[in-house]
Amino acid sequence: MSLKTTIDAKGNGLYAVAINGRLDTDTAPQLEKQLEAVLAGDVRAVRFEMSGLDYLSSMGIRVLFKTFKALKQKKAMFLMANLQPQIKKVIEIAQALPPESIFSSVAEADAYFDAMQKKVLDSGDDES
Amino acid sequence: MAHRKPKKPSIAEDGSARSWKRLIPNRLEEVEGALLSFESFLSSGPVAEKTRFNAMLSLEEAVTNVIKYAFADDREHGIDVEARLGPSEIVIEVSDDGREFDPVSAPPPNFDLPFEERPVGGLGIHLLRKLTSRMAYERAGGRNLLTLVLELDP
Repeated sequence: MSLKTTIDAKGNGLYAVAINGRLDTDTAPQLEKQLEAVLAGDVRAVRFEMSGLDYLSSMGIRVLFKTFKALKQKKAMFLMANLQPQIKKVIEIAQALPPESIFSSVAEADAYFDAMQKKVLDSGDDES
Repeated sequence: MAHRKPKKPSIAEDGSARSWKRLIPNRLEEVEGALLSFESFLSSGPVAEKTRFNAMLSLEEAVTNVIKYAFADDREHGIDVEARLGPSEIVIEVSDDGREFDPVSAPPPNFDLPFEERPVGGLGIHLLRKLTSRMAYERAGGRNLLTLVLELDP
């Protein structure tokens, strides 16, 4: 299989998606299908762990971009961590995803998610 | 009326392949096999990983565009792809008998829109422009010919 994806629900609305292999014309539809179930549910964030992603073409970027748009519509977060340098370059050239969705580690991405969630909860509690 | 230049010998002195040719049927499922073959070809020569990656991405974008946009009928068409590895550059030629389609003149995506409002299309051609050193398009004898050049040491 040239694309292997694992999806792990963390229980707090954060879905950890690890992508391994190639995301291209051939494999992009497969990822899109796998993300459908996540996007249909009560998702607060999708965090992509990309250290295993070796190749990304515009079809792959398209799926990531569609996922970003769908999450934005649900006021959920789109996070990417550990992009290989060449992959990061392609994403930057394509200018398809905002730079603030790119993190250099899973810990950083998750901390950002936690901080954002806390903000939402705190502002909800703030009755004054 | 021939539109091809004479071919250089395809095996270099050190045994590495210098040219690669493939006829790709116009179905998206056929792209993967062609790319893997192209990757082997690129790995046989002194091509840096980054350039190999860019060349593969460029080939994929160019061929995918042809498959998606060049043919108005349901018939099978063959897309001729040829690549040559020179001392300082890789030249990729993509040729098809579909309707006229010039990616070199296509308008760029609209980067002024906020991310979530941008349409999804146009990314492939934009990537092609940025990943290649030069691109040229020709229409001759009822065929599209797209030439992509990637420098080995940009």
